[in-house]
Amino acid sequence: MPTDNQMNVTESGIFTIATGKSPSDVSLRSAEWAIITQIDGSKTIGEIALALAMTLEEAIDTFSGLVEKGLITFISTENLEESYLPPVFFENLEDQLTKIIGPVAPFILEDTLWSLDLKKEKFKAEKLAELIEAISDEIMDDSKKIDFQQIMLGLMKELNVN
Amino acid sequence: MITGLLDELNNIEGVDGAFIASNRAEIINKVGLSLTDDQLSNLSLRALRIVAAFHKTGKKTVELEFYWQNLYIICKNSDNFLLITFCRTSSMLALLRITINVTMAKLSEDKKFSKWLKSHKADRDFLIRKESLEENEAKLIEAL
Repeated sequence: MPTDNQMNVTESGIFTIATGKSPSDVSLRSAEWAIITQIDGSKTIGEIALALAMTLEEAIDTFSGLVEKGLITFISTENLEESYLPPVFFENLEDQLTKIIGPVAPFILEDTLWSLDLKKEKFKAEKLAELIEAISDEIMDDSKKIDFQQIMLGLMKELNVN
Repeated sequence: MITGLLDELNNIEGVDGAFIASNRAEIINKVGLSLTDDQLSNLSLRALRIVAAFHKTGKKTVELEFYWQNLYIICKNSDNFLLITFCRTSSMLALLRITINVTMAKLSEDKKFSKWLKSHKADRDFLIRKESLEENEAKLIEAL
């Protein structure tokens, strides 16, 4: 039967270094060492994967290996529900984008969300800057691009996203 | 105003500091950095040389990004100055890049700042004249 440690090796799982065993007691691959250096009791597996430019699958595999070796312990799971953006935000984003690039705005927004594998209904606030940057890449006029980014930074501040 | 703009960058989680350098690699303004002005000037000089080397080959460099001493460094190039920002984490780079773009636009619109830059104008190509380069740097530039 899987333990709590194993069951929580998910994107939102937060781990800490286990006290009973030292990483120097076992042989570790470079990816495992890289993860050990990132574990600080507050970063989620998803955040560590991003910081190390790993895919989520690679990170989860490596975390599972570290759990099996008894080197890390589960602490908690980040509450992802709380950080989803309200749907009204996307209406606002679409309005602003339409003012800048015209009626293609909704298609650009949908295409960009699709290419980043993100959904409006379950959109984490921490992904917003990435989305804004990707949408900006579709705006050819540099001055309009900056206008859009400036407006979006304002909206992000209102939402307290940083 | 310039300090206020740099403060906005510095307030982003994970950012260690930012500074603006002239085309002569002089430090115009900085916030939140523990490095000395000499170190920052040296870094600017290297970045300006890269920009000048590409300019010589007809390529315009808008941005340089590199990883140095566990820091992500984003160096944004305008014709008359460089804005260099240090960040500890890659997770904030998208937000940082957006904020830098807006900061660059605001700096370029600032009349006082533009006036100051005019009085400190310098030809970047001067920075890649052979006599001012180390041997390995000259070889690298020749390879471009």
